[in-house]
This record gives sequence, C-alpha cells and structure tokens, in this order.
Amino acid sequence: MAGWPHDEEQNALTPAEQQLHRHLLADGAAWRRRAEPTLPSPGAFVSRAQQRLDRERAQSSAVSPTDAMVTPDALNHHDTHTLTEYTEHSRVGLPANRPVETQRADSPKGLYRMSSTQTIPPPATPHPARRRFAGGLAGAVALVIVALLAATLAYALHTRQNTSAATTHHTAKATPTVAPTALPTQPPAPTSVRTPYNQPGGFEIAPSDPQIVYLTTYANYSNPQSGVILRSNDGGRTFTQLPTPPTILGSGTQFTVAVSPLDANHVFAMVTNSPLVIGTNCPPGTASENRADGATGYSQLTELSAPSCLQSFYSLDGGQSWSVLNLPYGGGLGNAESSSQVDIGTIQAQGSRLYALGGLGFNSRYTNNIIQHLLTSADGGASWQVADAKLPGSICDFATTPTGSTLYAVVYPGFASFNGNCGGNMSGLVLSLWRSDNAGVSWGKMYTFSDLTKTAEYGMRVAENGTLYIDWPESPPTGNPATVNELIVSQDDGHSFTRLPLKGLSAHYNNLYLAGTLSDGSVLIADQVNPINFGQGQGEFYAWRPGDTSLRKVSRLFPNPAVAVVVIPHDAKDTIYLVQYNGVISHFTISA
Amino acid sequence: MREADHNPSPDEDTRYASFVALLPQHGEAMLRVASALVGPADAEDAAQEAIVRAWQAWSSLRDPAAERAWLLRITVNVCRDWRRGRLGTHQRLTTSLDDFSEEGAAGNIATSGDDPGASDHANALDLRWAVNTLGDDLRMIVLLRYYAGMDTTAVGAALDLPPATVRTRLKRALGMLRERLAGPEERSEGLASDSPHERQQSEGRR
Repeated sequence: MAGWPHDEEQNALTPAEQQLHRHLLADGAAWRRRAEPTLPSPGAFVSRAQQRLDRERAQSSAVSPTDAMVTPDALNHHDTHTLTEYTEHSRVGLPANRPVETQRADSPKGLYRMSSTQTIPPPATPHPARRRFAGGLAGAVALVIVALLAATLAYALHTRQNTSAATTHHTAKATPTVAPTALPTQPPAPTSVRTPYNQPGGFEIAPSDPQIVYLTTYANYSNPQSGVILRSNDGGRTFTQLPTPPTILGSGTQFTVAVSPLDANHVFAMVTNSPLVIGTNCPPGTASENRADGATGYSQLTELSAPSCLQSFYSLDGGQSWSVLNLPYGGGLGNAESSSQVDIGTIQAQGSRLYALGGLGFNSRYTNNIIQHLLTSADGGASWQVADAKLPGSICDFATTPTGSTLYAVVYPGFASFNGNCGGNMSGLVLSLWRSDNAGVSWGKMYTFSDLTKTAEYGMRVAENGTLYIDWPESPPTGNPATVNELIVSQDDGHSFTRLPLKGLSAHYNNLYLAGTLSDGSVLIADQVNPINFGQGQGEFYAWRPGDTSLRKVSRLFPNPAVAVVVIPHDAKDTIYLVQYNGVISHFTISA
Repeated sequence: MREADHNPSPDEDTRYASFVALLPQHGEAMLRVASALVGPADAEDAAQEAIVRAWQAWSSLRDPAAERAWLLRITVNVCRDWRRGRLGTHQRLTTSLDDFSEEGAAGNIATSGDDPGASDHANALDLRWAVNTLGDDLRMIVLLRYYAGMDTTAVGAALDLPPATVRTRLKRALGMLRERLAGPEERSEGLASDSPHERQQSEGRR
C-alpha cells in the first residue's frame, strides 16, 4: 500500500495541480491516520473472514439435492435442470431455453414444469469476464453492419421515393402515392431541468404530481450540521426548505424521504444519526441495545463501535408539519440496507391502501438479526398495520397488483441483513415467493428460488396485466466477481418464471434494474452502462413486453446514472421522470 | 452441480487451503481499500464479502502471480456495488469520506508542511466535498490514490487499467477538483455550488 508520487506522476502536473496533489496526499494520510485505528487488526479480520468462509462452505455442503428441489423423476428427465445446476451455465441461475421447475407447498408432487411455449432463447451474452473485449468487438461489427444497413435503407428509400414521385407524376390519379418508409429514429430528446443541487442525499418525485419534488441534503464533512428536507412545486427548478422533523437525534442527522404514490402531500421522513461514541446509547426514550421501542418510534442500530439511531416521521401536509411515526414493531419505515444508514424503500399503493417495508427491530453488525416486515396503511400513512403475519421470515421485497387485493412477497427464512442484501447473512437458506389474495391476511407459497440465498432488493413489480417482474441479482459469480442484475418474469401468478431476453441491449450493457412498469404491461428497465469498466456510469432505458423476443430501447443515453425513476401512465403513453446523479431531472414520453 | 453442493473433496480442501493461505498476505490491503471506498464502518463487511466472492471465483484465476491485483479488483467491484445502492428509490447515502464527518469537524483534518493553507479546516472540508462531486471513475481513482495510499501502478492493477491511464485520469481529476475548488468569482460557469463553505463565505461577504 505504500508508494508515494512517482516523478513521472508529478512531472505531468502543472504547479497548481502539484499543489493540489500535495494537499490530497496530506489529507489522505490524515484520513488514514484516523480511519485505521477504527479498523479491525489484520489478524482479527482474517480470522473472522475465514470463519465466515468456513461457515458458508459448510452450509453450502449441507445443501442436499432435495434442498435444491430435485426429485428422482426430475433427475431422470433429460430436459430437467435445477436452478442450482444452471449456475454453472447461466449467469442468473435460471435455465436458458429450458423449462423451469417450480415447487408449490400445496402440491403433492412438488414439481411443476413450465410449458415449452414459455421458454426463452438462451442469451447471446459473452461471459462477463470477456464482455469488455467481446462488447468492443461486437460493437465495432455492429457499427459496420448498422452503417451498411443504413446506407442500403437510405438508398432504397431514395430510389423508392424517386420512383414513387415519377409514378405519381405520370399516373397520379390511378396510383396512390407510396408513403416513404420511416427510417429508424433515435428516441426523442428528453426535457431536462438542472436543479440547484448536485448530488444531494435523495430525490423523490411525487407519482401523483411530478411537479412536486422532495430532496434531502445530508450531513457530511462539508456540512457537519444536520441535513435538511426541501420541496419543489415546479418540477425541480426552485426549492423551498421544509421545517425539520422534530427529532431528538441532534445535529449531524441525515434524512431520507418517501412520498405516497396516492398523494403528493403525504410524505415520510427517516432520520438517522450516529453519536459515534462507543458505549453510548440512543437518546432517552429509545430502545435498549437489542430491542426496538414501538412506543417511541425509535430504534437503535447497534454497532459495537458506533451506535446509530433512527426515527421515522410522517406529514400529511406536504412537509409543513411532522409527526412521529409509530410502527407495529417499532423501528422505522424502510429497508435495512447498510450498517450506517437506512433507506425508505418503495411505498406501493393498491386502491387507497399503502404498503411498505418496515420494522427494523433487531440489528447488530455481527448477528445481522433484522426482521423486516410488510406493513400496510389505510389512512394515508399515519398508522400502519402488519400485513405479513404468517410469513416465515424477513420480507426482502414485495409487490402489489394494481387492482384487487393481491400481494407478492419475497421471503427469506431468517434474519435480513443490512449490507444491501436481504438474506446476506450467508446462512445458506433460500428465498421464496409468497402470494396473498386477501391483502395479507393469508399467504401461500408459490415458488422457491432454490439457488438464490440473497437478493439485492432491487425490486419487484406487477404490471397492469398481472405480469410479475422481479429484479434478479446474479447469484454466485461464475468467474467474474462483479454482479450483474437481470430480470425474471412470471405470467402465471408466480407459479413459474423465465428470464428476460438480453437481445436488443447495447453491447456495453452492464446491470439491468427494474425501473417500473408501463401501461401496456411492459416492464421498464434501466441499464447503467459500464460502471464495471470505469465508464461514466451512463444510463439508458429499455422496455420489454410479454411475448417480445428482444428488448426495445426507449430512451437516449443519459450521461449520469439514474437515482430515481417514476413512471406516469396516461392513455396509451407513459411519461418517464428520472433524476440523474448530478441532480438533473429529465422526462420523456414513450408510446405503448 | 456446483462444487459447493457436494461434500468437499480432498482436491477442494487443497484449493481451499491455498486460498485461505492468501488471506494473511492480502487481507489487510483489501480492508484498507474497502475502508477508503465505503468507509471504515462498512469496510470489514465489504472486504469479507469480497473474500467470499473471491473464493467462489477462485477456480477462474489463471495467473497466481496476479492474485493480489485480482483480490483488490474484486474488492473494488464489491465496494462499487456497495455504494451503488438501489435504483428507483434512493441512492445510498454512505460514502467513504462522509463517515468521518464528525471527526473531521473535530478539527483533525490534514495538514501539510508545504502549504500552511492545507491545514485550514474549511479548505480540507471543501477538498473532500470536491472529491465527492467527481464522477464515479475519477472519484474511485482519487480515493485509491490518496485515501487508500496506493501508487498509480497499484491503482491500475486494482482497476485493471494501465498506470499511464491512471495518471491521465488522475490529472483530469486534479483539473476538475481545481476548477470546483476555485472561488465562485473564478468560475466560468454559473452553476450553483452546494458547498456549504462557499455559501457561507458568499453570505459572509454580503
């Protein structure tokens, strides 16, 4: 880790840059001096890492073929493969161009096979480790092909137009004119607004009125005071600071916000703060170390070195006044995503009801013992009740159908983790999909993701036509340690799944994220391009409709990653609002 | 079937032993890289995750001599995923430098013997603010170079980039940082700054 500036490094710099270089060297050294004492000793770290490896290895070994849902019948069938088997052959653990087996708890045989009409072709995606090279080569070849096709098409069009014009000139009354063939066009340019805030803490566009935007700033080294919440009523052009929720967590707090899909004035705020004092607890009124306190709405995120506290608030008047949010299990409203902050996850609506995850009751860096619940509110978010009373574990993600009272939940039969992965405590347990048709009163198990022991909580959605989409993280890497997300889809209420095709993607695609659903039942997919290869983290959008054999690109390339996406459906069109990482809000409309 | 679904074979035990033997050599470096990229609070978790992923991909490593760079590259990728957070709701707020906000505010920001100005608390705060405004690729290089204390060759190995490319990008990053740290009156563009220090200065002047 040593090594200070090479001569050639400094020689390439201007005097002013050299001065900045020295400042950075000094600041980096000072930062390390303060950081390193808080890190575990190398010996302790290696010891714990090895224990975790041993544990995972032992637990993986304990997964029997039965656990992976392979029956003797299935093994004897040449066309039958388990998700586990396919891990070697496909990047998402789902069979490519093969039937998928599913298991239902209420099935005596335990296995269902998907019909052949539901198979999808294997993706023509190179191995991730070779993707950069192959992508570049494929891109070059594709460029040449596209150029040739374009020239041919232009020539054909030109010829046809001339022929048509000539024909029309001579036989105008007898022969109708031929409409010129439309050349493929680039998706329309989006309309963009540059907000006054570059890289704020969080953005929320109100789905019920996209002119209303909430954003949070957060405490950091350049802003050691508390973060603030701001609101825009003009699509992000101007912002007004809202009153701060009356937290007792003191200065240095940071906020995340979420807005109700039903009402732009119903907004929720999560306040977190870490006193950063070893051995201290959260302020009076909070829970003891391992217990959430539902009465006060506080919870403690326990870390041995730096306890963090959180508090949730709601406002029904657009953030002008705030009330403490008391939840059934205490804790807060949102997803547990890291050891140092909590994110208010997606709030989904069904009729007049709201659904969200919450209840970060128990939490410890070393035990990962968070239980995450599905909660519902019938009064705009002022009070919440449990909607997952009979589900066996933590809720990693959920989705509501647009109408009716059907809910889906991905359940991990243990504690959720907070490192960005639900089920990330490596206990070897697997995720399963559950469904309720009565708003969470009772649930039935639909599917077991036999090889998926954790999910990155990227989301799931049900489209207007009932199609269920789930963002699917690549489970154990097969060579390239980088994770790549793709999507899986169910068109039979969660009984079986197929993976979305990758055809149509840019050669440089990286990760696919579920960004929403469109009014025609399509799924909207965001691809953040090339962050693996240290690109600029650009993004573009694709759509896929059941039955399509390829994805269709629906947006231009955005120069920065999207940090928030909202789909506003109207008639047969959908308007996509997105916030880019640099604080630019853009929208564009696509036709179904 | 995956290897892991069987009881470990003697061969796998040997492979596992060879992998575990690497940890004392490279574990500390992985931890320090993770510390710079995701912050000390999450560093151990991220580095552990990197080790698990590395073991899962261990059979794909063809060049044993490149094991250190390979492990650090995995760590970098894990940290990038860590920071990326989820799309559609919020970007993760955790950033490496943020984790020391309170301690930074306590007054132990970097000092430089060459330039007394570097000891100025506000300047250091603005410096880190500016680093965080860089795009992911440049920010990553700056964090590894200056805050993880790696030289450009090591940074290049961890990012799978030639050292010359690292230096080029580092120079570009320094240029951008200089521009962002320039006073408001020196800015060529009229974009609003969200550096609180600058805002305070501006308000103070008014």
